[in-house]
Amino acid sequence: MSNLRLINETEITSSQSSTTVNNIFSSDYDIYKIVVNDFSQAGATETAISMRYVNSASSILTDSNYDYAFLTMKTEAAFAEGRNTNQTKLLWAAGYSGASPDTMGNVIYVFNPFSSSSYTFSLGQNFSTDYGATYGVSWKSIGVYTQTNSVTGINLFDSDGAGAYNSGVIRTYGLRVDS
Amino acid sequence: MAGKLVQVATETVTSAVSSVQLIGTTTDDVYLVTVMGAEMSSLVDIPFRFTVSGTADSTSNYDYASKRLVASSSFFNISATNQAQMDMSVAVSGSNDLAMFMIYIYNANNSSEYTFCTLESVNTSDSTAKLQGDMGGGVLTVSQATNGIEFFDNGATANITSGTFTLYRVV
Repeated sequence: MSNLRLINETEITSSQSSTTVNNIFSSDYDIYKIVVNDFSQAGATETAISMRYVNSASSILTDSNYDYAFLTMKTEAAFAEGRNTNQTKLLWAAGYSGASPDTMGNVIYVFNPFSSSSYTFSLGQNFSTDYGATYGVSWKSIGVYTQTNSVTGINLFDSDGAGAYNSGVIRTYGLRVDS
Repeated sequence: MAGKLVQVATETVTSAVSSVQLIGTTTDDVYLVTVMGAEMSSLVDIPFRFTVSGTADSTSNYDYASKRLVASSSFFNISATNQAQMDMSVAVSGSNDLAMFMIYIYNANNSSEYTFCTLESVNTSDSTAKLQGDMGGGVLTVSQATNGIEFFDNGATANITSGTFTLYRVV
């Protein structure tokens, strides 16, 4: 059996601007691989897909304890740095959602989310197409939620407020360590 | 469909050790090393090197380059050639100063090619919970088979005090 175990697969089939996948983090794993792909806008305007964590009470953690940094690499423009501390979200953690076929693919690793004694860390990389598929952009990103709360899930949402998405798939895997 | 990961070796550090070795890159597959929550006994980096027949190769043949991402200041480049180790780590020590690595190793078992790796890391460090991480890679420019990886303190002044280090084969 593979040590990479599928925990959850969530498919988006209706228009929405916020999607929570909860009860995916547990004491069974310390490292999680989250694959996010094919988010597509219901309308024509692309939007940023950012991420927050969710606790066992299904509350989205919107406190100002997220730090992040990302390197933006564009196909037709200069690369750029992005960073911030004490924010309410991990900005662009899942890149951009555009109107089909301008979608995206992401891999986000989350470390230590279920622990109640250390921070929750993340690593991410993605590629999105933008502006009518004439423009591609990739992010390499890091993030941390600087609270020692146990978190049990993620919330992906339209952080630009530009419009809902109506498709997409979120797959969560655990990296099993057998002692 | 995700690829399979087969665990080859793991070590969980619960008391101070001078180094951690993961042995077993002995097929032609790609290997993944994960490091979860590594801490050092004082504020130093966590470099690594490859092993040959179970012994760390400390010859000055490591080249590496990475981009250091920082949440509170400008990013910068890290690069070096002909080093005795790869050091793409920030210094970590103390409560909530933790290091996480994802390292892919290529060509380890091929005695006629170099051993390559790509690395991604995320850490809080410098005892200020400052978020930093690296995106890069490196190579051991010796045509030889390597069979594992070793994490250690280059200055030999600190120990690894915590962390789970795991080697997977990607199939």
